[in-house]
Amino acid sequence: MDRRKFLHQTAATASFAALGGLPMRSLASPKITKLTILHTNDVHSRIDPFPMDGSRNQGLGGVARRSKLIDEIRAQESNLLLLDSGDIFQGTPYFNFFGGELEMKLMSQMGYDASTIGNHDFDGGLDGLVKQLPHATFPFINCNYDFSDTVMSEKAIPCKVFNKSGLRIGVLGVGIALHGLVPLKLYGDTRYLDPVVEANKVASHLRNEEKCDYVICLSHLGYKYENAQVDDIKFARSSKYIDLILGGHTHTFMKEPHFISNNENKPVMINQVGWAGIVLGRIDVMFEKNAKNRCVTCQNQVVR
Amino acid sequence: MTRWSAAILIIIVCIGVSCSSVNHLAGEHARSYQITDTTSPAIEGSRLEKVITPYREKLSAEMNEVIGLAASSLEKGTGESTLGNWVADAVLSQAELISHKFFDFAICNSGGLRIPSLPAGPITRGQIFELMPFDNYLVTMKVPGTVIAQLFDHMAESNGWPISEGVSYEIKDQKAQKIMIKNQLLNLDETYEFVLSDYLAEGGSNLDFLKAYPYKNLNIYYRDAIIEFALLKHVASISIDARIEGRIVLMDK
Repeated sequence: MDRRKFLHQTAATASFAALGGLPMRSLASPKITKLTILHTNDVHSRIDPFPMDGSRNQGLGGVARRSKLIDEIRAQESNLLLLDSGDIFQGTPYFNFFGGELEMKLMSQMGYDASTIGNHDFDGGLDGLVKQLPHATFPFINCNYDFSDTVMSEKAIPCKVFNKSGLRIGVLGVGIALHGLVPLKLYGDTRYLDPVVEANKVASHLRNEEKCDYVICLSHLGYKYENAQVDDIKFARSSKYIDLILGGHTHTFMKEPHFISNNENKPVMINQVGWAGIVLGRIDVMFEKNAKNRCVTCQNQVVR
Repeated sequence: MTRWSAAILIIIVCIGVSCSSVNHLAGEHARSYQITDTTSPAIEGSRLEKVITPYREKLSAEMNEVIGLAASSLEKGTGESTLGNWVADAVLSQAELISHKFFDFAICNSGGLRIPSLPAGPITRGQIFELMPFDNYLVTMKVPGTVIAQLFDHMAESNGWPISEGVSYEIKDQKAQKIMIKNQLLNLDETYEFVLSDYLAEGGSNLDFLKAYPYKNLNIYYRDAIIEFALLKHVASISIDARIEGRIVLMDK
C-alpha cells in the first residue's frame, strides 16, 4: 500500500477538479489519458426491473435503463470498456424459456466488450452455452477452465488486449471451482485449474509480452470466504501484474473498492456491484504519458 | 436516491526508475450508479425495449397468472425464515401427494431461494420462477440416521437450510444438536426418507456424501411442485402464509 495514497472524496466532479487544479510546478503540462471501465456481475437474466410489488428490490434494475445510462456515459467518455463478471444466466423466466438468447442479444446491443463465465452460465449445460455464443458480439474470457475436451473448446479465450487511445489494456478472467457447485452433467469434461497459477501466467504475458499498461481480471471466484476456499482477497494477495479485479458470485454490494497488496506488495483494487443489474460500477483510470522514466503529475499529487 | 454510492480518488506515487512504462498509472477513481426509474426515466420505445418486447409478450400470459395470495410478506433470512418454511412445507406436501406416502422431512439448500422476499398480495407464476429458477427435479432419498446427522451438520455450517415442519434443531459452533424429527430425537440406528432436489442428491452444495445413496425421481421440477402446492391452496381460498416456529434455533447469535 505504500505506493498509492488514497484521498477520499464524496463527489466525482470534485475529485476531477482536484486532479486538474493541482499546480504543475515548472514542468510542461503532461498528457493525461482517461480510461473509463463500466462493470456488472451476476445479472442473472434480470431483463426487466424488479416489479413494483412491495418486495425488497422493487423498481430497481432493468436492462433498458442500464443501457440508457451506459449510452449517456459513452457520449462523454472516449475510452470506455464495458465488462461483466459472469452469471449472466438464470434467475427469471427469460432464461427458462429462451435459454439466455435475450441476455446475449441485449449485452451485445449495449456494447459489452467482454464477460467471464460464472457457475450459472453452465446451467443450460455446455451445449446450452455454446448455442447462445453466436448471439454475443463480445468474447468470453477465462484462463482456468480447460474446455479442450468439450464442445466449448476454443470458444473461450484466456485474455484479450484492448487498445484505447494509445493505452494497452489487458483483460483476463477466472472462474470458481465447479465440483460440488455445478452438477457434473452440466460442466461435463471441463477441467478446473488453479486460478492463481493460471491467472499469474496470463497476467505476466499481458504485462511483459503484450506490454499492457493496465491489467483487469474478471473474477467469478467470490469476494470473501471464512474458510480456505480461494476468494478475490486471497487471489489478489497471491497475484502479480493484476491492477484491478472485478468480482462476482457472492452478490456483494461493495460501498467502495477494497485494496489488497499483491505478492510484490503492490496494491490491487477489488470491486463488485451486487447482483441483478441493480448497480452499474464505474472505475476511471488516469494515465500520464511521457518520455520520462517517471510520472510527473503523480509526484505533484502526493497527498500527505 | 443516491446516484453515486461511492467515490474515491486514488493518487499513486511513482518513484523514479520503478515507472518504466510509458503510460504511467496516475490515478484511479471509483463510483457506482444505482439503476432506478429516476436514473433513466425515458426508456419506452428505446432500442433495447424493442428487442425485449417480443420475448416479454411471449412470457407474459403464462407468467402473470396469479397462483396464490400471500397473507403477509415472506422473507428469506439467516437461519429459519418464513420463505424457507413455506417452500419446504410445500415440496413435502407435494411429494407426499405424488408418492401416496409420508416422508420424514423436506429440505431446500439455502442458496436455492433466489429472491429475498415474496411480497404480500397476489403471487404470480413468474415470481415462483424467480424464487426457484432452477430446472431441478423433486426427488426422495432413503439414508441411515448417521447420514442424516452429517446432513444436519452440513446445513448448520451455513446457519441451517430451509426445512419442513415437524423438525427442530439447534446450531452451536456450526454444529447441529438436539435434532428432533417428527418430535423424536434423531436415532442414528434408524433409516430416514426425505425430500430434496436432484441437484443436492447428486452432491450439489458440497453434499458429496449423499452420492453413495440412490434417489427416486418424482419427475416434477422442484419449482413446479411449489407452484402446484400454491394453486391447490388458492383454489381452496387458503392464503400463502408461514410462521417462524423454532425449527432452527441459532445458539451463537
